[in-house]
Amino acid sequence: MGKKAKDKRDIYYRKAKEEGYRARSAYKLLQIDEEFNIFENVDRVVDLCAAPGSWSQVISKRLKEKGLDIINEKRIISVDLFEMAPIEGCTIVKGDITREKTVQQIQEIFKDQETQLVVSDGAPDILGDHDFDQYIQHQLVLAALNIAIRLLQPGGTFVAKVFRGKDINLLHRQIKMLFRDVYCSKPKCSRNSSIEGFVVGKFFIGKEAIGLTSERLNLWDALTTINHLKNFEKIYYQEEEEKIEDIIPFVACGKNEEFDADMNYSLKTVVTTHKKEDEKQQEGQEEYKYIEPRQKPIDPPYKAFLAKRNELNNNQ
Amino acid sequence: MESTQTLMPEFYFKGPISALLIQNYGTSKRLLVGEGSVLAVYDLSQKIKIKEFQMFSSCFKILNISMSDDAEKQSKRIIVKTEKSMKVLDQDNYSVIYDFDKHGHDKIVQEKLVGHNLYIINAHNFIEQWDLSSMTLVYRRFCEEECILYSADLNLQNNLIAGGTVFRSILIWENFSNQEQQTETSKVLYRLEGHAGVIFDVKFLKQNQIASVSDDRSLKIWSIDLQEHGKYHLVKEFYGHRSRIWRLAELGYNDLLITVSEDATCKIWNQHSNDNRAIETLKGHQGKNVRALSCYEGLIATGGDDGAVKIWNAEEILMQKQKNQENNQAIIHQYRLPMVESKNQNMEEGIANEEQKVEDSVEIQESQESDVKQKKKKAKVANPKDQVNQIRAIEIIQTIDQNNNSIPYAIAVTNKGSIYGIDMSSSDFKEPRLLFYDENQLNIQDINALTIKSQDKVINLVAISIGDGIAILFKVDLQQNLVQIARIQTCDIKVLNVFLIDESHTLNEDQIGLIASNGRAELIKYSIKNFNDVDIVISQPTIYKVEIKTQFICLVYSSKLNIAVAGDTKGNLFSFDFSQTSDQPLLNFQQLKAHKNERVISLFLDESKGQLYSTSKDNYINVYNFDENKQIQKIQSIKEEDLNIIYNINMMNNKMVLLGFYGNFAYIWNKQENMQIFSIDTKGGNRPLKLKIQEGTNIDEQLYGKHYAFAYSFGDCLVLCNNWLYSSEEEQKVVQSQYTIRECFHGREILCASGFSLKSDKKIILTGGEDSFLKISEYSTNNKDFKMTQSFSNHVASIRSISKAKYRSANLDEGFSQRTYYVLSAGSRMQANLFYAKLNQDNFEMSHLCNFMRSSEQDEEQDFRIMSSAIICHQNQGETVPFVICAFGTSSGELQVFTYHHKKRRLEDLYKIALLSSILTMKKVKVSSNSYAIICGLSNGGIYVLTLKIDQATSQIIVEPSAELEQVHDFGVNTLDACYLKEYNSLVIVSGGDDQQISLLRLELEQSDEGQIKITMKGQFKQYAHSSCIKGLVLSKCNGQLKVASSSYDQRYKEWMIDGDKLVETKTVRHCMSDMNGITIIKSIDQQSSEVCLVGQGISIFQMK
Repeated sequence: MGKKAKDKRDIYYRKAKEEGYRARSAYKLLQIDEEFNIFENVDRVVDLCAAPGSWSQVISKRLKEKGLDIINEKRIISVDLFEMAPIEGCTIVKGDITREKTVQQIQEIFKDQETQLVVSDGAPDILGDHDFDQYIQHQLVLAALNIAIRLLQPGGTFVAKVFRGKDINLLHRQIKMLFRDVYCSKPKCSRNSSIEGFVVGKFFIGKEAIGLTSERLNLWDALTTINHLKNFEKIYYQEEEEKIEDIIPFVACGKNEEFDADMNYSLKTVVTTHKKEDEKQQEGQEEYKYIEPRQKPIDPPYKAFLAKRNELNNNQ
Repeated sequence: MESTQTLMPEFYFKGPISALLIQNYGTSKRLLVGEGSVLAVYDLSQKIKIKEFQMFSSCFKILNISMSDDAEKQSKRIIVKTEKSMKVLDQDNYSVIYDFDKHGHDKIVQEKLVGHNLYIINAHNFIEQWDLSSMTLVYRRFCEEECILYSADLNLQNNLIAGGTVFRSILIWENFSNQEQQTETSKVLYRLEGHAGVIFDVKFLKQNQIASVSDDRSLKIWSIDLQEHGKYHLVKEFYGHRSRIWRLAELGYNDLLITVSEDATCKIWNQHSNDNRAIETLKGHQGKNVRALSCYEGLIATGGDDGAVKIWNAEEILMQKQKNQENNQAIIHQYRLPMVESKNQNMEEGIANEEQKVEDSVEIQESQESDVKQKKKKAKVANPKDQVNQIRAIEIIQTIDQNNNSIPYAIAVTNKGSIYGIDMSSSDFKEPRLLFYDENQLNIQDINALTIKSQDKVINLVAISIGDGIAILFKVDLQQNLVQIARIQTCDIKVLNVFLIDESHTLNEDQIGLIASNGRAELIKYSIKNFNDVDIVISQPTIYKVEIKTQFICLVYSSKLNIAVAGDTKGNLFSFDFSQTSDQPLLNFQQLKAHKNERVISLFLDESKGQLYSTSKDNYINVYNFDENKQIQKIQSIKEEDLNIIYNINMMNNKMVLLGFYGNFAYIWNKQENMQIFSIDTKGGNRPLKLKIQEGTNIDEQLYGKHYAFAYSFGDCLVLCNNWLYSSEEEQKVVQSQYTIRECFHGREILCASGFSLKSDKKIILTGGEDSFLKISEYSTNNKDFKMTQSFSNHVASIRSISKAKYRSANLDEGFSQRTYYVLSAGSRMQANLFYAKLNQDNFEMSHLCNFMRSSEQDEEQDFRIMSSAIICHQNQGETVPFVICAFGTSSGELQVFTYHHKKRRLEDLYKIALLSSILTMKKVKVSSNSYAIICGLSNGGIYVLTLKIDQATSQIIVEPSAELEQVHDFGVNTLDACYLKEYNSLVIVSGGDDQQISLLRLELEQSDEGQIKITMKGQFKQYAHSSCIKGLVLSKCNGQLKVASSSYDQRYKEWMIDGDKLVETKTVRHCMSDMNGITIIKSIDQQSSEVCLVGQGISIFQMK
């Protein structure tokens, strides 16, 4: 596939490159915000599984727009296992979200102040065995949830990517135990019929309400506690089937005029909205200019393999 | 207990094989196969299925099958595991000994059973020991490190646990069973770092060694120091898989390790080898992913996502390989053909430039014809590469010497004007001999020699092309000299190919034909008579030309069919029928799109099988045959992955042999067995060019064995060989050392399906998927027997939609009808295929009618896909030929309607409209005797209705947009179904969306005086139905009641009744199949029963009650 083919096929990929975001996923958070107003009354945010950092970019931009000082006060923490290039106002923590150490690091940086928003765009980069991927993805959400429980102030918001697969209703109901309003949302820039969705939990009911004291730090304990609050096992083992009333509401995000992620757009389509009209006109006539992605992936797992393969080819 | 176990599965499921176990059973061996929730038992010596058990509820997949670790052979038991529970079975009668259920909430990563002690390692990095006799938890111990495990192993001897994490490391910690220490967590004793990705499998080997496989495509072997915690070293790392490695096992023979991967192969590794490559690769699975693996004393069983299970006798395969290597003592001769001293300084440029020049000349030809020659003769700066010969064509012919002995003789032609001949009759071959030299420089692209054999003479004629359109014909005499017999000025530009054909078809007659092709896409044909005489007669040329600006690159001729097929620079094939004496040879050709916008590099014709092969830069090898009308039909498309660009295809011993490229090496490759025959270092990117194989048909096989000659260009290197790897006897053995227990189905996700029913218990299911195959399977309701009967490979990419339209049903004598249908498949790369299907009581026959592919220029601009399709078959009274109308919805929002031209066998434009969103789904409904509605579901949540009316009198088709309903769903409309209710004159549309809801619309139809159909909305409601996107939906009418069936990615199938303005759920079925993409309901002929067919990662069929 040529370089430009992806530009044609994916308008949000192009838009992200033109508007300076590191990944197209930035628009997912922007569109969720449009619908749910997630930055309302927010002055501290934790971004889990942040790399390459497009959500952190959005958070940084939004907090700055609100007039908050993000440079001198530490308000945004971006956590990821992988290296990430710096972003204005974000404190980068390189760590595993399933580990206690990471939570302590965050608490230290925030000087034990509570946060109002925890977001996670985490997904295992596997996509081979769908069931197993979904399981791991759900565990990542639960890990993120575990961090959220510890950091959020009552009334806080949680946004996480979820794979709407086999046991999604179980996960949704686990989240429903912790937040007053839970929605399954899908931004317009997310591809249609992709299994991906975003769960938005609003109005965190508070640690005390769910019977979690601050001493209970273990993820496994948190999970079993949640599970014991209601017998989710019954649903899992098919003794009880989910009722239609239990399906959490679906909310489509993003304005109708937004680009359709499933469509192909001509390279002449103007994607950047803040440009002036006359500039746009000029652009339309110009030859399309390819822009390199803002942030190239750092070290794919198969990097060593590629090097080895070349070596093998040459020594044969 | 046995009785409750031998239950026939409720579902028929054919999908990815998730677990395997080779079991030693008395004197024979058995194979346990986990497919979905069903456990099937096969006898390996008889290769038959013995038993089948529904192990778990249908929503649980069998994830692993293993033997217990009991020391005594007779006390061993079988463990069958799913996500969070497992069953322990008796090894003789498979009855359930323990049902280990509901132990907790975590996923079981690894299990081990000794006596009644069950050890389970959970995904959240902790171990539990259970006493199965009392079903009590003995202890649970956490590792100090909280993380999620992908894989784990337990070593009971050293009491160590190895956990492979999502995050690149392997953690080794101690399993304390000591009650006092129970409250503590275990410390990590060793942390093996070095993998660059997720650890998919980890195993303890002998002598404190650990093997692991990962996302990073490597197999690593580690050694830990038991005396000193934390101390370890990496012993070895192996590379070779092209994609992620899923599982690892010990072969149980010579310390060999076995891995299976996403690249659909299985590899054998020697731990102690100095080399870091696999010693053998086992190929045979289709599509993607081989996940299931079991080894037992040198025997390997592999199970893939393609549903196939293969057994490999590794011991024999390796022995055979060694033997073959010993046998492969072929004498290979390499020659550098010397340059002939030339006074002519006009050096030619490289091949690429030559071609470019011809293309230029095509461009210029019309306006500046006179300049062409001048341009060509311009002096060029000599390129160092031009100082050597380029071999442009090779041929092996059979000549006879004075003593009437047969001699294989190789002829090689260079671009520097020389023809060399090599006598291959003795094993040490003679040195190349210059046969001909042309001062004006040869300019050859292809050469073809014709051997005419009669009782006592062998006549060899060789044709070449030189310079500006001149073809020369030679005869090879008894001293192997070339004697020129004719020099023909064919045209004024360069001739690219010359071919000799035996025109008379009677070998004794003194007449042959010569075909030349040039850069203007012309074939020029001559008849040459009396070539043995002085009075040689050359006829006037017949010119065959296509009216397209293109250039023929390669050419083959079939003497059986008397047709020539040429491949051009744009991926098209053109076939010319020489036998038809049409007045207008210009029009007498068939054009076929073979490769996407890339030039056809090579064509090969296998005359014995009547098959044609083509290859291009896209690395697809296409296989075609010829139908009764000599029309080319594509029958297979093979993606070649081992080589880079394939330059030539040939056949040897009925096996496909390729000439290709990888890394710096040019390979001659046995495609069938995926092994190299010969490789040569091309030293920095020189391309191989021609491969010619001459088998015993023309040359005395007994005298000389089988021959092949190989040449590569940008050099003067010619390689000749007179041996072949195997005798056919030995090849048989290779085949026997592997066999298939279950045949393959689709190797990738199934995206669409359609069904037919024959007599009461027999159903036909058509499936299309990501692997681009359209497969026909037969399913019997009574014995749940499912077998694939036919596979069509007309598509080059994913098939996304299959639709059908009934044409006719004729009642036969016995009250049973024969029915005929038009079937349409459509998908990626803007491709569709139309078929004609005939059904009677027992048989289903489907034949291909036409291929439709959007011409190249447009999809170069944008990457289009057909997402949805519909087909209408309408017969006007009194007319014999029906109207066949095909509608396509594309990813770019175009709704296109075509009519099928029965005579020309192609789709012709009828109507086109651009919508604002992708058209994800489509359905046609008949709304009156001569009008139809096409309903489209869009990615923006809207529904669009188009009406088609066929005028009885004028036979005109009027197409009109009729309704545009916005925001029916909050997100894309993935699927819809509709029916027309005559009594209410309304159209009922049910649709399922990404918003997890089902919507129901009632639209009233009104026909205006002008014949236009007006649509008004009469009722609408929508409700939540699933907890993920809805992908399949079927509306059916049953006793006047409307029923809806839906399927979703939440792995549920639901049935609904429409009650007023809401849907009432009547049934829910959970099934462990991922990506449920669609539903097809097949009603039996008597309408008494129906079957539900769910497709996704596999196919699942069950009876609807």
